[in-house]
Amino acid sequence: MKDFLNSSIRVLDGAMGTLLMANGMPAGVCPEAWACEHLDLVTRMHRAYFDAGADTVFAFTFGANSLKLAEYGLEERTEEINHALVRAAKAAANGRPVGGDISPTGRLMAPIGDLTREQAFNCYARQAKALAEAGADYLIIETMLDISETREAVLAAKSVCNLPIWVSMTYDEAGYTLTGTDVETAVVTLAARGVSAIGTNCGVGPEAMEQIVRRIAAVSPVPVFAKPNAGLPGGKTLPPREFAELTARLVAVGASAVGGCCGTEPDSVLFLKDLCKGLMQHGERPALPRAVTGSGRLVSFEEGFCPIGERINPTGKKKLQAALRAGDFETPLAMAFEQIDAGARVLDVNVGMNGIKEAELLPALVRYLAERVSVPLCIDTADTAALRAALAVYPGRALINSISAEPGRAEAVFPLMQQYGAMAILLPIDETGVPATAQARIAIADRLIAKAAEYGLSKDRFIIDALAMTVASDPAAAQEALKVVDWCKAQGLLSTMGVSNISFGLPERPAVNAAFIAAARARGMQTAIMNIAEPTVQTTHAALEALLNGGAAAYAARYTETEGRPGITGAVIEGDRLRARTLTAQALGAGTQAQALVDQTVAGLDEIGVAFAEKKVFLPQLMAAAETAQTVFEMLAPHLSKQESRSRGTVVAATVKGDIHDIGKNLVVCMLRNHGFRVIDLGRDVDNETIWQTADRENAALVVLSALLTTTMEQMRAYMALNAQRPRPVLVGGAAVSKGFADEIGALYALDAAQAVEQARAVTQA
Amino acid sequence: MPKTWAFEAMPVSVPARAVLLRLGMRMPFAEKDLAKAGRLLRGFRPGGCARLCALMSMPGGVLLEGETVTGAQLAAKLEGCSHALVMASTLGPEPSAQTAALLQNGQAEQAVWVDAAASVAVDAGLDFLMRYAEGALRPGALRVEARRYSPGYGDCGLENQAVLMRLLGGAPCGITLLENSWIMTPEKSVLAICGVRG
Repeated sequence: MKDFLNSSIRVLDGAMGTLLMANGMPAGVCPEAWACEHLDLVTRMHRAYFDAGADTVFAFTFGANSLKLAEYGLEERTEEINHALVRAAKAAANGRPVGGDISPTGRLMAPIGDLTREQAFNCYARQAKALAEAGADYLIIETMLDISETREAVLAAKSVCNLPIWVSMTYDEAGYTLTGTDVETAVVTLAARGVSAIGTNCGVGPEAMEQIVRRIAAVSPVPVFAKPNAGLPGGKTLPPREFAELTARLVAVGASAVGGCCGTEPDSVLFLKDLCKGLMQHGERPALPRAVTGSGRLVSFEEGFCPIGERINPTGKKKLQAALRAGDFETPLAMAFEQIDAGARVLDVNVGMNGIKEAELLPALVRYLAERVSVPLCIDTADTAALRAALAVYPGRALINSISAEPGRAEAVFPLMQQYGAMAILLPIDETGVPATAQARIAIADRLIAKAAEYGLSKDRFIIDALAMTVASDPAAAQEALKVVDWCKAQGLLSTMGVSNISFGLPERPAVNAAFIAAARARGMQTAIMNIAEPTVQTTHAALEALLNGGAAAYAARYTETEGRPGITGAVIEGDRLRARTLTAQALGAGTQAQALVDQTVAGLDEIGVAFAEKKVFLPQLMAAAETAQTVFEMLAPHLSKQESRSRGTVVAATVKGDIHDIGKNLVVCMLRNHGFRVIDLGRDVDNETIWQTADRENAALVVLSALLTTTMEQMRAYMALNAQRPRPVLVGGAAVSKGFADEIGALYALDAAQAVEQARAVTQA
Repeated sequence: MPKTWAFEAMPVSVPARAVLLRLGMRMPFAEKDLAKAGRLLRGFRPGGCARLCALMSMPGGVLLEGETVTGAQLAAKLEGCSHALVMASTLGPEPSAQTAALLQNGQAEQAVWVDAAASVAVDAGLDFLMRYAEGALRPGALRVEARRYSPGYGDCGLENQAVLMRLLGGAPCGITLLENSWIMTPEKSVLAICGVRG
């Protein structure tokens, strides 16, 4: 099987379910159990694909895992069913390879679903073992929807056999799996685990699959295969020739093997075989990217500088220590988001402190964070048991921090790197401690790389820590570290540093750290473990991006965004409360009449109202302007005469009886108040009698009623009957309410908060 | 064949631009707005459940395992389907409490953002359920249709929400209906039905 996908283009089989259904398999039965009762038919169907030109077929063991079979009470037959169905395929194969087919368990992994890692692993290990025993030539893990479950399937399969493993994920048209993993992330995660071929099947037809295959081929170091849908039961199905023509195009974008999924039949394969005759992939496949992955994101160390957030480390952080001891993971999660927002592309996770069981706490935190943030994690521990446990629960390709030359460390961690496909930071220290010179560090790094090669780990799997030591105690520390960076660059190795050490004991540490990062980046360092959220470091990082990576526009935008239209009117339009407050205070201090400032504020509101109506600005900007105006009005109120501060009129607002949706009404209330109306907000679920009595008592100029649903808007009709006793204008609005309905009941209508203000102003002639 | 699925916290894998579009914004979107929407979306993980029900057509509606869902237009859309997928997705009471608090504090702009992101996220829960069911119903026997419908669609009245909830076990994921008005609580909750062929 080794070169099966490395020679000419291979043609894979088509759908089996479709064929078996056409040959009598009823809906609602366990397909694999039914197939076992019709083994001759199954063999005939496989033979039909071989006869049509398929170079291999997948045994009909798609749903023959113990969890799926358990749904039919057939769990105990797992081995028997897998054995029988592989034999049925081999009976048709005449020596050609047969893939043992593995598919999702039908349950999702916790915390989305209830499937534990152990359950998934055991389930897949059991099926893979049965398939291998039955003589499958390779395993095909296909139609996978979730990278975590796929990862368990691969680990389980590798634990029980040495067969080649092909893996195929199902993506939507945008290239995402069900649980949100993109193509590149999935490919790198799987390739790092040593699978033999990576592909995609189902989900989309051949045209939509083209872009997905192109993306897989761009990063996959192993052969690529594809099985698009021709159609689905009840839907439109591509005719075999058209399907084959479109599918054959996938070869041109990188597929080494093509076949069909739902809706395909032997005729599709026949045409496909003809079209693929004489084709083969030329050129070398890309090397596995020097990249790490989270559950949903890939970070390449070869594309721009990669800040690794250092904050999730309890050393010197009492609050984090207390949180971790209490099992409170919200605190580190908040730190994670803070660092991501500041620009961290990978997060270092360290729980090392006294009095905790690291082998329990670290995997728990890693799992918790990995389920909630998409960026990759750097697992930072000296405890091998904790590292093993954390890698076991991590869904992507992790970065290990770190491996030193201390006795036993590399021997313990290299096998974990192999098993889990991880990258690692090499720390050039040994049992004698941290070497003072670059030369000594380089010698250790060389030794570690040579040892890694013995484990089949190439130098691309490592990032060398150049070791930033404290410059306050060793004046040569920065220069020695930079020499290691130089060496890494010359060797084509990635380099990093925990930069904060460099400034220990010095004043203005952020400035020292930022300067050191700049120096190291200029010498070729690709990543650093750093506090990216620190303002000086962050600004310097942005400046370096401007200087080195064409980020000048983004750098300028950090400062130009705060410039805008002048004056209070401009501040209102831009929703800049702080500027509005400052300008108002300055103007009042300079003796400007309060009424003049009111006019400037109202001018801003009017202008943004027009822009909103013209769809030049949108609801968030409108509300920001309203809030800003409110801030100004509150400052001006004590300075206005009674006459000037008189409201534009009283409005009674409510969401009608039976309706609890009130954000729309609340926005109207906010806007009306900011335009100078006195608003009595009665809240939601308010009965008509209360609304009417309040309006009558307060002599309201306008009543505003809101309703979301057709069922509750009938309350508005009832209110109008009540209103007829002493008529006053009523304005209605809400998701279900239309202009037609308002006209029908004799009310005014507003589509949104801005229109409500216009209507109120018209009614009050304000 | 499994017929019900339940998830405590579904992933929301919709692009941030969905929030901006919901707010009425038009392309090109500002990076800072996309970033803000993305930050808000990642804070939401709707709970949800779905049930595959055998479907029979009947005059003016459909029959789902003994329960009648009324609506001739809905029935027309589900014509030819052997089953229907009945679904619920909810974010619980938190988003509404958050928007209320923001409004109370004079942060109406932020309230608008949170409300829009929550609406997008709860809908994304239904997307997830449909894609999950599609995968779970393989190999090839049943096909989940691309479109879904909620009570309120055409002549499918809101009272059908009670029917869908009964099919989902009464109070799916903690969703309840207010008496007389058919309003769901928590507010950020959605029910839907989509056809399944095969």
